[in-house]
Amino acid sequence: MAVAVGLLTLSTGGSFAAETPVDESKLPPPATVKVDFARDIKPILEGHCFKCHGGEKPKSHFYLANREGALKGGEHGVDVLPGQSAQSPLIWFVAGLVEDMEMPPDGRGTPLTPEEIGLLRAWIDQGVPWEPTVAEKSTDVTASPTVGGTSVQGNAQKFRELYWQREGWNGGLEDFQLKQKVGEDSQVTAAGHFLLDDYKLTLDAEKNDLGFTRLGWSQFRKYYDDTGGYDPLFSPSLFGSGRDLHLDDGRLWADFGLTLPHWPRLVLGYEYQYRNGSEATLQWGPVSNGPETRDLFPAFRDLSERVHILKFDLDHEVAGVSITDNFRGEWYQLGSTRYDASGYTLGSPGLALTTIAERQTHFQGMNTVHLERQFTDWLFASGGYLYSKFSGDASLEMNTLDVASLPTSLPMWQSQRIELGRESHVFSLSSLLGPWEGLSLTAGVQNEWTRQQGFGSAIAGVADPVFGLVFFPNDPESSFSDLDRATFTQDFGLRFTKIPFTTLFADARFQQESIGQSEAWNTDINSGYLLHTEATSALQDLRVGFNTSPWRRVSFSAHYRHYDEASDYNPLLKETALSLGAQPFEGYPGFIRSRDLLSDEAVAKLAVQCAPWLKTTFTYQHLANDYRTTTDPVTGPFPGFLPGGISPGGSVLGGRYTAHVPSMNAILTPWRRLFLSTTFSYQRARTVTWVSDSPSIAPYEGDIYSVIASATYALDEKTDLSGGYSFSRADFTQNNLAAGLPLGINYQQHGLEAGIKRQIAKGKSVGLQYRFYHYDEPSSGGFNNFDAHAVFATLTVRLP
Amino acid sequence: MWAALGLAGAAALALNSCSTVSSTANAPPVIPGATFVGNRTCAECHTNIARVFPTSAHARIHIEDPRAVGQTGCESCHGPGSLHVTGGGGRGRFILNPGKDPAPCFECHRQVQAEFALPQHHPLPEKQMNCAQCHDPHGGDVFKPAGGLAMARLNEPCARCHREQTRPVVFEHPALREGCTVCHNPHGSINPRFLVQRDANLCLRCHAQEPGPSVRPGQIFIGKSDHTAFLRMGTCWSSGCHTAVHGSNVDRVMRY
Repeated sequence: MAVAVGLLTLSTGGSFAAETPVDESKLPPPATVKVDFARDIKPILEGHCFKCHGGEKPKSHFYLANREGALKGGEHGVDVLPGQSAQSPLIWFVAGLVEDMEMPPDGRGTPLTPEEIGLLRAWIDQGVPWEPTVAEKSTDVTASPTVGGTSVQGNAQKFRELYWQREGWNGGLEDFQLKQKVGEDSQVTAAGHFLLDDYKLTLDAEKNDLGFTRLGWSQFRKYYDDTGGYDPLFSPSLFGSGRDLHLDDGRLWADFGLTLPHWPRLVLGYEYQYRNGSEATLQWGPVSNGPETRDLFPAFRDLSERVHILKFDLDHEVAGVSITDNFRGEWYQLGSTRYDASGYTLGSPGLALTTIAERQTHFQGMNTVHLERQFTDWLFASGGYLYSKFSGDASLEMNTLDVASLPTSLPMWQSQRIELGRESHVFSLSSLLGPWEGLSLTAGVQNEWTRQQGFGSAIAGVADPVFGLVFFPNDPESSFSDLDRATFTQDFGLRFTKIPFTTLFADARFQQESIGQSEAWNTDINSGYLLHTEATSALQDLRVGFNTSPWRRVSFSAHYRHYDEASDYNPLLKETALSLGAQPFEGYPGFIRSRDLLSDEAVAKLAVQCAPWLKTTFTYQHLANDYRTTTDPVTGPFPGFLPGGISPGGSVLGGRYTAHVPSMNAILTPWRRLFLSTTFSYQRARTVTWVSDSPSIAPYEGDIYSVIASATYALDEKTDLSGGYSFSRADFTQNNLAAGLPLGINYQQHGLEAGIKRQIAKGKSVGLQYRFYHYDEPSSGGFNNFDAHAVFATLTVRLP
Repeated sequence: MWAALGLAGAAALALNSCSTVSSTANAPPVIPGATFVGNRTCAECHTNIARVFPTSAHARIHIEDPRAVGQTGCESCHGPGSLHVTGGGGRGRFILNPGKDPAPCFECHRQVQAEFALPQHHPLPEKQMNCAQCHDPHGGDVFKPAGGLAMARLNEPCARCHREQTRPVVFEHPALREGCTVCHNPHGSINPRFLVQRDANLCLRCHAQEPGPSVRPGQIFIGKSDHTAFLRMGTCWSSGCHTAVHGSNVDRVMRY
């Protein structure tokens, strides 16, 4: 028998590193059958090779999931020589003839049998036939044109706000996608949707081992009820302006990536984000009705927000170290004008309009360098550094015009020069350890230093915003703030999975922060103010819990979380130029000495498959937050005011929030053709503050009920029926109309859906949907109520 | 709410391709013809994600047991991966991407789904947003495979879209140091702007002081200022006073 000896050439990065003789006589003989790729070869590749050589990052850059990749080879050169199986390194590797190159490697799969190697040899000798699979078809087109309409009876503005859509006709492309393969390793994809006020278009092109281009544009509209939350129950009935308030929110992007083998992965991108339109502000102007004054008149603002973002990302691996660099440069422009009605008197044209125009431009540059390395099987570590610099300027101009659009003596404020700066350095170091199987530990630290400065000057007619009185017209103002912040964070985590069917975990985060802050406002005797505060805070966030599934049909998990953030304020310097005088809020917040936010949370979840056709999940969450504040004694604005002082100082429980949230989900499939899913959630929440005994501030408490249900029923092989129901209800109404504004909400809403979808031909189906909406808000006196009906028809076409 | 129905329906379709319920307590997504391969197989290619998975919140429920394969870990969200593996991998090829479709997330996070069904919510049910824009499902605060610095920075997910509210200003509101979620529930709320409370209780939780002996019952001082009459007129931010609640460039008590 002739003995053939081959030479194995190992190359790295294209250079030959070694030559090894291979005894080809030890190879199993090629099979004598005519090979069918799908029948004979694909199962072998799937079972032994694709695990490592079939993914997005194939080992040794040898991609074996298509013919081109198989013939191209990887880091070690060409592995498959058509017609020459005995000389193909792939066969040597799977036959175990090359030391340290046995495929699959030990522990990564079972070795191939001689029969399988023989089939591979025959496949190569017969020219590497490769039949394309269904998944690799070259063109895939899906489009879903739709048309329909929605009619609303009642408050259409409220309908738009709650359901993010406008009444009337709508139509367009609900969804479309085009995938086109270009050659073996390139693909172009276009996708998106085009509906009224809701657009998205993406265009992606990608070529393996070269790069990609991703382009896109999206925009959607947010609608607002123009009353801004005004409560119509308070007499008079309403102040509807009829404005069509909405914001268009959009982004445009272009990313270009380079993914050459052995090169760093580079991405250069540009993104433009914008927000344009008008929104309700939840701010109201004063309304006079005889001796009564309430702030009810709705306000709104025009907004133009634009951000240009330049992006650069780099990823590379050098000597086992993964290196990532991310740069972001953001150019930001803000323009907003708020419109507040002021001094509105019922029954007379006393309307005055206050406008507050604010402009800001800034640049913020950020760069992050991040390193990662897997040192051993049980030690992984990473470190990072972020540098951020912010520089901007702003202006603010407030004017009040009377009904004839002439300036009044009401508040005005002009600040044309405001400068802002901020600089941050952030360092982090983290490690992940797995010293024993079933145990993983994480530990990380992060330091952050930030310095921030702000400065502004203004000409002001300072006024009490409620009564509209101007104390010091044309008063020159200046403001200044300086903040230095140092934050040190430690993060720890533990996972233990060695107990059968159980995972235990514990997480802890500690943070210490120190802040030096100076604030100055004005320097004249009328309203001067200077405060320098040294503040420290300590945070601890602890969580412990488990998940267990002793039987396949039951799982139970629970955790407890304790959060405590305590801040101490040491006001080293407090100066007010006129502590006796006309500015009744002087000194705030210099007398606050500490704050403590304490939170406890417990969550338990039980999932049970009660029967083959019924699966249920029960969840319960309890949350309690305490807000505690400690102050210095507060004296009156002048001697003799409130004997004993406004406050003796000391600690007070400012507020307490408690919530109980049980929920339940059930999934039923009583018949193979029917699927039902229902979720019920209930929340009981209560917020009580230290002034909740005041008639004007009632406790904020109530219940929220939610139900979400959906069903699908396969009528026959070509027809599906679907249905859905959604319900929520809340009763947070506050009974404090006599002494304040009743601001809680009491509502219920229902949504009902019924649809049918039928396949009319191969790759074509039609659908018809009916939707019904009902919203009832008794706390608005019915002003916000509506009913809506919608009908939409959709055709879905898939080609080829 | 309507969109929530759509999501529930989408979840039903994704989970019901065989019109049967799997015989497990949890219900991983179904990919027709695919079977579970386990986390180790996923880690062969997605090494950068898999090696830091133990630090993620989802690892808290991951059970390392072959019997539980698919119920927790990668495939409990992405669906069974056998076809994805044998097909050579690839973005979205025979694999679900919850980053674009929240239905797999809602399979476990039912309570969050209920929050998104409340009247005021971020437009996730309307498919204008997705869970991964704010949450990194694979990493924890220590390791962030989705990018960014190793640890999360406070308010960073919110600031990516809400730059106006999180920008530096001359007079900042210290509440922002405790995070946006002190005042907002970002998933959904019964209140405008996702506020956790709709009235002055929101502010009075922190702006509190012990009343002196001469302060009348029902009389409310904030600092030295008698706010009794002001609080009858609306909330702290709505009644024309502290309108710049996120901070002001000109007024230290955030009126403008």
